[in-house]
Amino acid sequence: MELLSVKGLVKDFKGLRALDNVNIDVHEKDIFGLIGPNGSGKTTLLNVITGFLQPTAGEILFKGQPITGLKPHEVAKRRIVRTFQLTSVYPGLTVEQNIITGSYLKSSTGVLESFLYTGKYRREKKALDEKTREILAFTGMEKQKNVLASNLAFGDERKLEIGIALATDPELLLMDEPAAGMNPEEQSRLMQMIRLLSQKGITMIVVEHNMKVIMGVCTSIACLCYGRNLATGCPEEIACNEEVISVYLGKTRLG
Amino acid sequence: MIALPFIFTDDYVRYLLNLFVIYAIFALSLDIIMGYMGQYSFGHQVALGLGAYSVGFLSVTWKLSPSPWLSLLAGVAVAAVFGFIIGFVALRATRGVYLAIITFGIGVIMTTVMYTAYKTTGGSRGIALIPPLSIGGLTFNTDVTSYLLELFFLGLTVYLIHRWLNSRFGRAVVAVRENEDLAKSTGINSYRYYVMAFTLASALAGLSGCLFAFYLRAITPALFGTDYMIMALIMVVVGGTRSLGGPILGSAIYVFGLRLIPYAKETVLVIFGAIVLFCILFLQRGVYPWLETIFTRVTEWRRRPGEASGGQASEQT
Repeated sequence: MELLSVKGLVKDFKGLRALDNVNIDVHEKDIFGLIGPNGSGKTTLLNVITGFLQPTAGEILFKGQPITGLKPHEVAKRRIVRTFQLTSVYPGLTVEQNIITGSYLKSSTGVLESFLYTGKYRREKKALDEKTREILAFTGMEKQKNVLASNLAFGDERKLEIGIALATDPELLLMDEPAAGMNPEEQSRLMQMIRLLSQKGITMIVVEHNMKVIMGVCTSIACLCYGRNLATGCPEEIACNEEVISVYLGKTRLG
Repeated sequence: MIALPFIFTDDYVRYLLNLFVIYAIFALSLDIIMGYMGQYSFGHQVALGLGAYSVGFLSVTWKLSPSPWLSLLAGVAVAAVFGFIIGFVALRATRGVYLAIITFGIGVIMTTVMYTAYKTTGGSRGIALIPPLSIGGLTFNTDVTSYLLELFFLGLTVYLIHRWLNSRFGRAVVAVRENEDLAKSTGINSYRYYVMAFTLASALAGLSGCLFAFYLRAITPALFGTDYMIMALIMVVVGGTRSLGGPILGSAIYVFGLRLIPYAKETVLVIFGAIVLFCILFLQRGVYPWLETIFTRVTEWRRRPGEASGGQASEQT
């Protein structure tokens, strides 16, 4: 069964139709690549799915339940979490605090319990600390845990962003150009990380221009063009698709 | 701090100590908005005034309250409701400068209302002869006893804010300040938490207003005016935001600094203005974090020069 299914999605910005009858189906444990020329509606699609934009028409189903038109925090409560195209962290907090903040959805103790310092609060704090350590280890940021996020190098910021998303314990993770601005070494580490996350059972949608990353990790790819579905299939099919080559990949073969 | 009124037996100094503690609570409450929410409220003194006037109305004008403690609770509640309504309406769409303008406008409206509706509010004469708080046989009607009572509430406020910062609620508010979109995408309902934080800040300001009324036993509509607004801003900006010590230090600087310099009032204000400018220009996060850095450096230097470990971010922000 599809984990996420987008049906006939339309998004208009005044006169411009940014998404025009887009259909995609993401299966459980997929690493779903979303490609297409600039302005083809990839980020808009991500914004509509995660509730940052309201669709003009169409339907989004998550596990068979409609999530169309929900607010961002309500979408997140269904364990659909995104990262942003322009790296997005909490600049004034340390790396560790960033990740703890990300685990907001996992915590349930209120001010009163914190005020009275109840057993529940302390147990939960311990669990959160444990989880935070785990994520710091996974992203390889243990040594930087007390560094302010605003002082991080760009590549580390991207890692932290994924760390924050992981802290929410997502089922579906949507990444908007995670490899942008990364050097080849960082890119291969990112690919490794994506594969590991997939093994952990997280389904992913990856918007990316870097074909090495897309072809290297994705199990399924959709190509958008002017807000329409151009092609969908496995990486090999997409790489050979004449239309995709003509609008996006170009004549030089990649991947 | 408990010993202070016993060391300084002078009436005037004791009076200032009382003001210092009350203003510290007020400044801490504003820091929830300015420091942790990262917003500006130029109408925070309205919550202080509402707290004070609730006590005045209930205890004196309408004589409804059987106990001053009930008036205190009512004062906090009225201020909280005020904060909730303002937050509910204003925070839906406005942040930053626009919120500052809205809150400023509310301050102006409330001042005018309090002066002109003099049949109800007593106008510029205000309300006097407010009965003091008491527990058992102990009445908090002297400088020393009321100071200790206020100190208790200050401690409570500090502890509350400290625990709040370590709760889901506090972390969510800081997350929204740092990056609202990211906060939303991780499941934080930014609007709801901002309204709640605004309500909390107003409630605490209301508490300081109640204590103010019980201590001075007379209140005037000046509480709603720009003097108290500027006072609050100065205390938070000069003392330092995003720390528990900052607003308290700011209150001390404001209360003692402004009065213990033995010059004519106008000269003092000029000097004080210069200090504020200096702080804004050179100590952008206030005096307190600056002192803290010096303290860390000194302890590191004493531990042994050359072995200094990189100063870690100790403050919760």
